[in-house]
Amino acid sequence: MSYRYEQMDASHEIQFNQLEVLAVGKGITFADLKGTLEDFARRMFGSQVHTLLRPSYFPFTEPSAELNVECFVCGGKGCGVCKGGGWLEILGCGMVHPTVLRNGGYDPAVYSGFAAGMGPERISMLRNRIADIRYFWGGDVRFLEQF
Amino acid sequence: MAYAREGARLYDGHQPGWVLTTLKKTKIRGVDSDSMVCSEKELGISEEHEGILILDADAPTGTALVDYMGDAVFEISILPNMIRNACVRGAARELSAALGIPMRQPSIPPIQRSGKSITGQAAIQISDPTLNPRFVLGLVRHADPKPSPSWVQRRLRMAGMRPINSLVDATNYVMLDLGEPLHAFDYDVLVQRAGGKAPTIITRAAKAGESLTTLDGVERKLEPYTILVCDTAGPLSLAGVMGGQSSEVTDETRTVLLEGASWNYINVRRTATAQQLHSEAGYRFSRGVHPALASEAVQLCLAYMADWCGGEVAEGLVDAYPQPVVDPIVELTPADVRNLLGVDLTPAEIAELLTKLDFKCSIAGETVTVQTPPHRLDIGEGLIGKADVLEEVARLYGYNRIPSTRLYQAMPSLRGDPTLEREEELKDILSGLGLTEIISYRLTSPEREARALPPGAAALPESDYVVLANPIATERRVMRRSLLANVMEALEKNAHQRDRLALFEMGPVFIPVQGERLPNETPQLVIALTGQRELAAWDHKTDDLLDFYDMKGVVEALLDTLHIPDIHWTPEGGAHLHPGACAAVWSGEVKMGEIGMLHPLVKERYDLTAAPVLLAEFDLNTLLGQVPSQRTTQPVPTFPPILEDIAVVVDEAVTAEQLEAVIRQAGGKLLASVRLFDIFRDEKLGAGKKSMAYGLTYQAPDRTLTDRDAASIRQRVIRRLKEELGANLRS
Repeated sequence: MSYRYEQMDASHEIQFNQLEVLAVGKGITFADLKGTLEDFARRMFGSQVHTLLRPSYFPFTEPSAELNVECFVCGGKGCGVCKGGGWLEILGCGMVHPTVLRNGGYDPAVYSGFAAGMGPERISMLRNRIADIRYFWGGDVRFLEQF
Repeated sequence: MAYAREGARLYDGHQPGWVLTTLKKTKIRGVDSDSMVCSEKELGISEEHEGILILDADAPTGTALVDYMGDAVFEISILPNMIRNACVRGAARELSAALGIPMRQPSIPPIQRSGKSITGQAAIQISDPTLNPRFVLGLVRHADPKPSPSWVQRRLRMAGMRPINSLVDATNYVMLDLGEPLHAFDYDVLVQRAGGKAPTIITRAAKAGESLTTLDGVERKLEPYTILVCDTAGPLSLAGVMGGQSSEVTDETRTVLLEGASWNYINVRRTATAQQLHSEAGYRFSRGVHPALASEAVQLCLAYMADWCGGEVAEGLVDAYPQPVVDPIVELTPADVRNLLGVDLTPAEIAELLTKLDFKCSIAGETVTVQTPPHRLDIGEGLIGKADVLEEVARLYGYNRIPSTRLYQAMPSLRGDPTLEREEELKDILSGLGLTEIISYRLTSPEREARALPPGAAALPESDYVVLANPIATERRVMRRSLLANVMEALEKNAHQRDRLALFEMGPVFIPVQGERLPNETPQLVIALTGQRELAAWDHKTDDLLDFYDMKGVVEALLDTLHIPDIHWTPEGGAHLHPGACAAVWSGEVKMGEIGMLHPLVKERYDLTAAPVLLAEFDLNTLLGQVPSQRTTQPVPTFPPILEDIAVVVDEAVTAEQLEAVIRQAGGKLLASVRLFDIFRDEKLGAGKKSMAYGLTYQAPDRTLTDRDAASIRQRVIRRLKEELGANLRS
């Protein structure tokens, strides 16, 4: 469980889980990151889901990206759930930064890798159309009994 | 001025925030009015609703306002590593590269350098070039800091800045254009501070105990990592963050000394964070601004100052640049691109992409030599520089054009986490038994937890808790010590929603350890039952409430499914439980947990129904520690058993547990099972007596037992019961 100083509302929590992905080896490429995470998105949200990688910044990856899935509420037309953009960000990712590889004992001239991080609650909210992140720890049986 | 007709969509000027409304026909002083002259707020330009928007005299009458004002405002969110794009030219460069449209440079007024040279008018002394790589000064005389031209003011407002006067506006305008924050000093104040001589600007780290009053009027105590711009009389500015009050330009300023500098971004960030001082300058300098921009920005700003304030620009600049930045050169090959990005590009294709962002590329064989342009500090050397440039290759090529592939190497074999797996199994068992899992907040307060303490117990002091340094609310200021308190809150929350509640939670509590930095995070399991045992249905009328034995049943089912051996119970429990309805559950010598009915005085503190609350509390590690890692099963018996019932009369004080223990001991290996099937009390038995009836099964693995075998076991059992517990066979 992770904690954050945050004004709580329907999409912000002070307590949340984090899930980290790390693959390091020889010959791992950004294309592998794409393929693997797109597979994940399809398994999680359905084989028809469209995905979009956008450039992003994280200090520990380079190149960095965020993975979006097409908003399945409006089908990408733009609505309140996707805040008009047609896409929903589901995770941050990127190729492991050479300094991180070196600090982990891998020679960045030989090894490469990709990393991703996501919030399981956010994924669950999208998958199960949960309107309010505060439901998770709210302990209301009217929510919990739906699972 | 701007006017709108009936039906126009406008912002309501009389409501706080931005509420759209439709203009309707109304009567003003008895006259029909179907149009309105608008305020800035109504037009959505600013929050100003005092009076109407008055346009400049050059505004052509009858023109649509949008054609006159003309500009669209784009809000761009800028990633932290792209501070070079926090300006119009940076954003334009990026767009030009992304869209393949050539970038048009702005037209800039030529500088009239009519004034006497700056040489000898000011000096610069940099004490540490790693803190302050470059410092540039320019001078404007005979300035008249009147308001800026209206187009400048409008652009500044649209960019979220407040116009001050043409001197200050010029520095801000250049910052928005080029990304280099500038600072203007009142030169005459500096001369005065230097005792009438030409001022010397000194940059250095702050000394212990130094302080400075910044432009916002706050006196700030400085840390040794803070970089200062000083003169011989003392500090003038917090370098890269905010200017000082004493030397700022005012409407009375006539001579301006203009500073363009670059700063160590780590020091600027530490200062801005420590001082909680967030300025446009600090935002940019704390992410790194290239020193090459300093002179370009000063030149541009001098031109605007002369143009907007009618000042006279002094000949030349004072430019201290002791350690010029060497823009890294990175070598890249198609193999590098393929290895990191999984895309095949030729050297020419790589060079073409990078040239769009002003990298200078030369190709020799398979190698592209890439020269970093002089506005970027985010490209490193060596392998890191290679990764930095490859990111740009990927961005410009387009992430979505990169193919999607799978890892070609086999994944290493998966290893399980036995603790996690057992916890999952336990959750599955409890869910299967019809309970609902809850996960609650781990942040709480001592007062909240005190509600679940035994009668008479006081809340624990904060020193017994892990206390948050920066809590979001006082009721969430410590890490929980009690899972029970959270489960009780959940019961209370749901008590009036459901006639029957069966909840459990599994999770750590946080117990500080003397002398240790980190607390013990002990996982616990709490089960709670309350309300009706079953809900009535058309074929089944019932109003039975869940009781102690329902909880015992849930726990027995759990322990049985986990195959925990040698379970026994003792009558004991925490002081928050009802003293007559609680029990500890053991596996052999190990006490795993307690169950019981919540003490009525504790229950009173919660808004619950009249039904009793049943609780089970376990230390999860102890419980899971009793789960056998391996199991053995007994062969199915091939010889028939002998079944027999016996009933004994004992004192009320003798427990079923004691009786069964003696029966099993006396029965030995041939006694396969013991089951208490009846308890009977009657005057005929005598006061304080009860009759306990047991079904016994005798079984041998290797032969058919005879009546004589059975009689021998029975007699031994009866004799031992009499000797040890005073039990008499009931005839």
